[in-house]
Amino acid sequence: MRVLIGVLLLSLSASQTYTRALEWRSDEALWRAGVRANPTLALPAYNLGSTLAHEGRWTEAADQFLVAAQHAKGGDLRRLAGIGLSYIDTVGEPICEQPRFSPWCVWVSP
Amino acid sequence: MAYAGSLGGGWVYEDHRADWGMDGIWAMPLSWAISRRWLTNQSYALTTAFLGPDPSMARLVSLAWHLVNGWLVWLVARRAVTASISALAAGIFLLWPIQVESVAAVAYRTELVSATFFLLALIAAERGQLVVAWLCACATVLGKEMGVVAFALVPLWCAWVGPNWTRRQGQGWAVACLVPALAGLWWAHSYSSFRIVASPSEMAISLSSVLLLVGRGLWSVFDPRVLSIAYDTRWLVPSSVIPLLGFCLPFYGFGTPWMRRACVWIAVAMSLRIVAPSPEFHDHYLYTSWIVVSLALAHLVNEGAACISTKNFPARCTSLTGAR
Repeated sequence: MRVLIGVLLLSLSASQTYTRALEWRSDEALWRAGVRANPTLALPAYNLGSTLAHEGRWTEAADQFLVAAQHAKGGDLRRLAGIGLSYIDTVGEPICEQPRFSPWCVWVSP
Repeated sequence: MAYAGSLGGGWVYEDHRADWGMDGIWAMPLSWAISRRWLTNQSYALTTAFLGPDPSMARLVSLAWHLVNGWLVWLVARRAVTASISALAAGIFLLWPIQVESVAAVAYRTELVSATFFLLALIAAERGQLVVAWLCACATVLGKEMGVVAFALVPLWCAWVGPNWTRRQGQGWAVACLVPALAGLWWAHSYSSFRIVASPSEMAISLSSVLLLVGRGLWSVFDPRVLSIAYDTRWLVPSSVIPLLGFCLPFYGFGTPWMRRACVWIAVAMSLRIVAPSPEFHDHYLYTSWIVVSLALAHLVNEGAACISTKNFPARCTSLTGAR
């Protein structure tokens, strides 16, 4: 009985560890898992937005920054998400004119 | 195999910020040893020097380090419990999903290096070699500054499993540990992220964070999604500690002796995290705590199986609470 329970526990552990380890293969996989598990938390959305913006995937990144800005509990993260949106607007695609993004864009003077 | 999914790919999360051995081997002045996590940095420098700046290789080294720690956990646990329980404890320590963060993120090798020297300190202390234990505890701090709790955990372990220290040995340990402990605390105080000591409400929030971290670490074996990064604990309020403690206390009161010890162990291992709160609580903070949590779980499995399989069920189950 002990051996059976021990083997079952270790097998369960190993399989869940394998699942979790897959999420650590890349930034995108890591933060996508974070957003999937915590859709109303700002931090994973902000980090996913940053990862996507680094890859030039502007539309997807803007959506994540928007989620982060809307759910941020503290002002710092909201402001960072706003800066992210403004960055996309400056170097990527003009998004800050769109009504859903414009309230969150933060204009930083050069 | 369990960690295979993380071995490919590039640098992830805080790996981007880290400096992979650029300072060169042995190049750092000793005065900065603590703040630069000197031993861990040497491991990065050696990895880069011999295997190149390849994330896959760096992760493979971390995995090998984790395996060594698993073997050390088995050696340490052997003194406290039977061979089969200690093997199960080592298996749990190696394979529990909460360990993925420490192993998969190269930046968190700090925990692995620190834990190796901490486990060596425990083995030396078990053999009565207190000078060696002290040196290993000092090395723990050079792996990661939070390893300073080793100076409290080593005597705690010896109080549980022996050998019993004489009064003179205890006093000697206390005096010998004063300098490295103060150096570690000084570092923590000067580091911008930490403030010693927090207000009672901040400490209550930190305690809540620790309780949640342990809870989600335990639950992760059923659903690893709970580990998916949610470090932001700013939603916690001081009053959240009351329901959380209310939920956890029965586990302490009715738990096995090793479960109670695991609670004490976590409290000591995470004490600095509670008095010097951080806005984020990461899974890898629990790496050292999981040594005794693994042992407690293995012991629980052993006692639980014995309780179920005996003819005297449920009378035999009194052993679960240590009443036997």
